[in-house]
Amino acid sequence: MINIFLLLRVIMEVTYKAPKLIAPEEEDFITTMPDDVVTNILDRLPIQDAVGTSILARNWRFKWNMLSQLVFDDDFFHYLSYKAGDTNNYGCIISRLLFHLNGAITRFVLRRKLDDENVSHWILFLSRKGIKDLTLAHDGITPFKLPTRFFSCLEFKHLKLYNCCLSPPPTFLGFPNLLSLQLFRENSELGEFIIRCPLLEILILYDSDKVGKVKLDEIAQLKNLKILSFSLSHLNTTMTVSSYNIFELLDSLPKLQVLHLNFKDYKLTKGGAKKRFPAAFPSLKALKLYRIDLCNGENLSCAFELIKSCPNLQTLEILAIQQEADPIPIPEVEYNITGLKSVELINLKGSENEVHLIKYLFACSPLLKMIVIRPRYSLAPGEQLMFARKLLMLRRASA
Amino acid sequence: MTSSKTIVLRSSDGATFEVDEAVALHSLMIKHRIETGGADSTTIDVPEVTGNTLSKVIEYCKKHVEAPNSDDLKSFDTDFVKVDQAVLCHLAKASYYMNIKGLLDLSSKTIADMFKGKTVEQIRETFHIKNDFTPEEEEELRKENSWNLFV
Repeated sequence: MINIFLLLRVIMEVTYKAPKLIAPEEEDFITTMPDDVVTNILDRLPIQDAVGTSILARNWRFKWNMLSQLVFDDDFFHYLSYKAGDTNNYGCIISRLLFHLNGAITRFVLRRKLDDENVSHWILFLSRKGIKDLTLAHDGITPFKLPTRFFSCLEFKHLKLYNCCLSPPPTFLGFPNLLSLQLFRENSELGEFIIRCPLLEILILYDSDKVGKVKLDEIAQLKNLKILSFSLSHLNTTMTVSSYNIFELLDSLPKLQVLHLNFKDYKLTKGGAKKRFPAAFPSLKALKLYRIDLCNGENLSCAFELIKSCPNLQTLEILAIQQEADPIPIPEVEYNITGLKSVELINLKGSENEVHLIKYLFACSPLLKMIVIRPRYSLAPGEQLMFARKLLMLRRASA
Repeated sequence: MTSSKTIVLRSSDGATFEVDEAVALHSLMIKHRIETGGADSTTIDVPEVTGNTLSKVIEYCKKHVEAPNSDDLKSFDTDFVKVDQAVLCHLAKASYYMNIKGLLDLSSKTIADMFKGKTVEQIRETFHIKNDFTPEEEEELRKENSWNLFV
């Protein structure tokens, strides 16, 4: 009798499984998070991974449909070519993906040349989804031609257009919300375009073999500019530029904090060099002068005047070139204290002018924490040594 | 004279925390409650957040309000999110409800990093997601997604 009870008990214990209590550390918290938070997370994943979450569980099947940021970059196309191989299908895959998306799309990045018709349709789709941040970039030969629809996306805040063709229709009144614009290899008249974007804070015109044209007084109309980068080759060829013009530009941009100016081997003209520009530019914090020939008197005195007129300048970077031979009269400068913390001078020859500039920087910059001086790679060792000796003999204001 | 007014925050499980008003205002939700709440807004209920999580959220806000320009802010943030995925999910949810953008972005980014480089099965394991698809459903899903090769 006892044996039967024992047997029954054993059978019950073996067949009856208590419901498995989920230990608190093993609970699924992520699936029940608010949609906005899950979207925030999925937006940060590569697209293929974000779409791939649809197979995690039933509740995850459509979470990726709320993606609001789409980045189709090298990683993405690499993944596709690894999986599919057939390059003709990429446009189709992206189009079908867009069909599934339910919510607003605020950011779209495409870094591959796909056919213009597809791209046009995508821009049409995005224009209805509240697109704010658009990057179209590729290194193919033929530029993207931006469709008319592009110019009616009035919510644009950030645009990066590399190798595109910007020809606004006559009805284009501007992008009233545009905060940043970066252009590379864009061939057209840019002035008309940029003056219609009055809120612009960042304007970067990359130097390339194909550059659009602007006038200095068109740039000067962008009163909100904080970061400006352009090359003198972007200016209309009928213009000649003097120091005075550059100071005039700085004076009309009261909020400018960063200026990158590519001299592109240009020599500033003498016009107005003697005119002293009275204003100081207290907001400028960083200055980069590229491809500037410091052996040219106008260029050198412009560099000095810029440093002197910007009392809050913290960073200075100069990439020098040498076209003119020494000697030319070295400008007389008063010594003013600068707030410079970091200086980088690249491609120097060790000429008198360059040493003169370095002497000034050493003597006037008590806050200087770092100075990097890179001589021309073609400088012979003997010349390099002489250059180094000259520098070591200069007086320093900083510790 | 600047008054150091304090606010009491009450979590879902009744825990109370007294914080400087300036720290509490780092949460735009609390800021809004105070501004529209009128005179007796010294105790604010945060029913979507438990005591443990609220305490951590306050720690974040304190650091970011009291020393926003300090050099070690970045390393504070990095160390702050060296926690279990469950805690991260609670932080993300709390910062969403309390409208603290910095913390929401920080926790979302950290959770996103936990997805990267993992297979579907590994993701399920990390976050304890139960696969409730039947084999037929899974097969159908793969077929439907044959256009995208991601699934």
